[in-house]
Amino acid sequence: MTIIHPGEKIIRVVHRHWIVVAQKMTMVAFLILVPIVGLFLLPLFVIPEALAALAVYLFSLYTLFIAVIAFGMWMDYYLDIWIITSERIIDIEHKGVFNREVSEFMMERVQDVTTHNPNFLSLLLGYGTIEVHTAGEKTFVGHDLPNVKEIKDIIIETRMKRA
Amino acid sequence: MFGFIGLLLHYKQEYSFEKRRKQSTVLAFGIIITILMVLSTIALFQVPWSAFLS
Repeated sequence: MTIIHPGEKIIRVVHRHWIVVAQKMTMVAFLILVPIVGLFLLPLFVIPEALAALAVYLFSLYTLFIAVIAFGMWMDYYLDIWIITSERIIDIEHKGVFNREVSEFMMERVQDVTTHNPNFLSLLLGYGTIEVHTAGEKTFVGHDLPNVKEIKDIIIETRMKRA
Repeated sequence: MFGFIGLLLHYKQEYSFEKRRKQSTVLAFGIIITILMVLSTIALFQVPWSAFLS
């Protein structure tokens, strides 16, 4: 369990930008919509009853499969999190339902912070990638975070206070 | 499915410091998936498999 130290203040809790999950969910909606249209058109064709029952079964199986994938996508969005506190940055990342990685690094170890808006939409909505280079070997990367410039400023400001 | 919900309830405790929670969305997904599982099972038994085997 992530324990916040006494006197440690949570400055910002950051999830991925909503547009990222919205894009994925639009794709899921489209994938479900296509067989629904097919199912409504099914009575227009003269096909054996057994084949129609099989089509309904395959459709329900397909919808279940898509719903599970959508759930996985939502979980990935919902549980991936960056917590910026007055002392450290905690990066919790899910790679699947049960595969979970928690990294944290002290503000004192922060050396450089880089932000990157990879495309036009990200520039327009202000989300992007943030890279925090630490004194160690590892670079911490947060993908599709909202207000990256503001987050960068918060990290730099907190780092300056800790110096 | 219930395992997933249990897992999420654990994470709810884990992430208790965060104010923004969307537990209802997760439960909605759980209910949808459970309904779809039931419907798939019903649909499975509706198919006259013997017609395909003969």
